[in-house]
Amino acid sequence: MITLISSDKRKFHVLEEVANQSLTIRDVIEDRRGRRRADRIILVTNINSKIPEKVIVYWLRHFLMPEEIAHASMSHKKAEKLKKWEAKFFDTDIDTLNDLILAADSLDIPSLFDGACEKVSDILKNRSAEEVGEISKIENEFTHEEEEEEIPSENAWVWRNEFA
Amino acid sequence: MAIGCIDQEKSFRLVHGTKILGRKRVVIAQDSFNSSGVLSPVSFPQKRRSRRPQIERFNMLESLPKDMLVKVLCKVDSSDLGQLLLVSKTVNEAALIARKIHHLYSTPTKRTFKWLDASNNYEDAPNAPMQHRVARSRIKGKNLACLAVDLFLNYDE
Repeated sequence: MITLISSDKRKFHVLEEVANQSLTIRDVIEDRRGRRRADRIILVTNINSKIPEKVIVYWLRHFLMPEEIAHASMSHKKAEKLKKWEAKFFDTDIDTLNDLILAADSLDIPSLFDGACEKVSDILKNRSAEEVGEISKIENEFTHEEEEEEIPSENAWVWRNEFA
Repeated sequence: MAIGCIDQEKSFRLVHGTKILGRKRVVIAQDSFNSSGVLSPVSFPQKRRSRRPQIERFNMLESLPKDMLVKVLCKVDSSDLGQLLLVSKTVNEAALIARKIHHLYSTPTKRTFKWLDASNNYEDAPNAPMQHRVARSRIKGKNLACLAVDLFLNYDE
């Protein structure tokens, strides 16, 4: 058992095999093998407790179905089920996705990172610049001239068909 | 999110340290980093932007460190990249980097080749002879199966 402690001092007890899905945690555990019991406590800070919860849920789901097996011999039905589950898992607000991406990066969980990124790119798909700004609450700091002339002229590739 | 060892007396300082950086990722107290010898794949943000007021902090794309933003934009469809250039300066820079390192080398999606789709804008060549019947493929499913088997038999010999 490993204990993860979030920034708001909440404790999460996780099986070592489950937490091993994070390459960062795996390295930390590997490094401290054979030491005192207190060393099995890992501090996971800088993020609210909602995210560790989500990450652990994700781990548990994937622990039942390790990736290597998933690709090689998983039945079509099971794969479909997992896909559906992931779609539901990532169907959250954009701030949570943001936190998930950060968490997946620092904990080094490639599949979670890819999943969250794909969801973000799905959100951005086929949207105009204004819409993207609205969704992600970014204020447009470009002047009108820049928007109309400079950027299009500097980046002609956007409007030119590169493969023509 | 930070990973650090809890060394009984250091733990308080660790948590305190993360507060200063706010949502910026990865904070590892320097001494615990060295003592544990963990070479985790974490990197420190190259430059810290000045602190923003509390409300603005939840800018989705901009609150991500730049390298992460680039990774996210690598997943975006390349045809959507153009609009992202106009969103903001940070996103603009990140989109350009993403294009340089990923989109220029990735296989274009079907959408990019839409103009090539023959069924959409097929035009007859000038002075081409009229075709009265459509040429039908002479390969049928059954024949194809035999062909494959024969090939493999030859290969065995």
